[in-house]
Amino acid sequence: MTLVSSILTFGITAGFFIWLIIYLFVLHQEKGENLVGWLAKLIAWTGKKAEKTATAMNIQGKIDSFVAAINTEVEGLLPYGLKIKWISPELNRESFIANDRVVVMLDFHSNQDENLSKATVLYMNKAVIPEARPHIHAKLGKAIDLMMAKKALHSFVEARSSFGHFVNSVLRPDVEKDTELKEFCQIIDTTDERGLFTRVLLRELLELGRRKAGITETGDTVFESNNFTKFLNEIAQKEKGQDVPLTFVGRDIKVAIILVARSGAEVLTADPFIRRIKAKIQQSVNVIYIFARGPNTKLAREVTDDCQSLPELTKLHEEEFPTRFPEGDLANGFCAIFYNRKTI
Amino acid sequence: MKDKKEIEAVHKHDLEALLQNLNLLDSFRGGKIKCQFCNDVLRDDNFGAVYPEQNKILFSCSKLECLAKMPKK
Repeated sequence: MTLVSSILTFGITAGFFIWLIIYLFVLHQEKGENLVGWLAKLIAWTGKKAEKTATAMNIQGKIDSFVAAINTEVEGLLPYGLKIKWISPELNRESFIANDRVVVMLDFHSNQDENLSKATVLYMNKAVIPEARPHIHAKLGKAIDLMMAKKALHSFVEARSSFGHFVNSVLRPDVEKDTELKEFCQIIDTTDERGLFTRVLLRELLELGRRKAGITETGDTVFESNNFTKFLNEIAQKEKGQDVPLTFVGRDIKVAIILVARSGAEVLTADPFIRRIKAKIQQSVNVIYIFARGPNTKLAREVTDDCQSLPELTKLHEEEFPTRFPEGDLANGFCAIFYNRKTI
Repeated sequence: MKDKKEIEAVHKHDLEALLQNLNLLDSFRGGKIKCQFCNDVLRDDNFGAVYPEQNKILFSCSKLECLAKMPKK
């Protein structure tokens, strides 16, 4: 009996540790990095290696947590995590030139805010929709980098000084001297408040990059992605009762936005929205986005449930998120994304 | 999150050794190395990054506005 009990205890303990290792270092690497960073920080005084591990893990953990959070809005939007690779100082001039990489200097782990802001700026430069870059306006690309860095640094609540520093020394001076960049940043800000930035704009640009991989840009797609950005901005700025175009059919981007809303005390059912969605399927849009705010989210869920019985549609995503009305009041937002299998 | 984008880094402790191996330590100590973007002279306390371009080795200071202008490598 004692032997059986010992075997059972050993089995349960071993199983728990195996599960913990898989959870921390495979399923949620960012949590593992935070843990290792925290442990290494405790022993950072013991030597260079522990100091470097603490510095790297702390930065990786924070940025990878942000990546994981963004990927809950759009799966695969930031497909890459971050790895800080310490280079050997023994590298000679020829090897350094042949390596052709930027090498950033990072300081002691106690100076983490500055390290974090440096790494965030460099990471966004590399990791956000890299495949789409040849097919979007350079200023839109720069605005996306700046606003994603702002969003990430704002999310690092424990490192607030890096956010203020980034806004005052990078974002503000850049947009003040460039009206086109300022306009794109404003569009991103407005669309982000309505939940359209990551869920629609970045998602569509990510798809666009994949679709156009290996195709030389002639300028047409840049023009189309610019128009698409303006189309989303118009929706984001739309006031109650105002009609704006909700379907965008370009050569590569074909989407329909279904805003589930009612005016006043009007009682609505899912039927008119389903009819509209069926019409959009016939128009061969690739993706249908269903959005709602506040009390309309319940109806939007009904519309989403009904869409699942349409054979042409495959649900890609569904979530609730915090959003704002144009008047500034906070509300609960809803978004569901469907792919049209009948698209050409 | 299997794939990771690497950011190569040098720790402040190792900067001197790296510059020595790149044959740039004397220029650095002599105040001859400047930020490619703002032209500030680089010192220990404002060193940002180093990168190769067209067979030359170029530098950025630690200001975020300069680091944001680094080439996408």
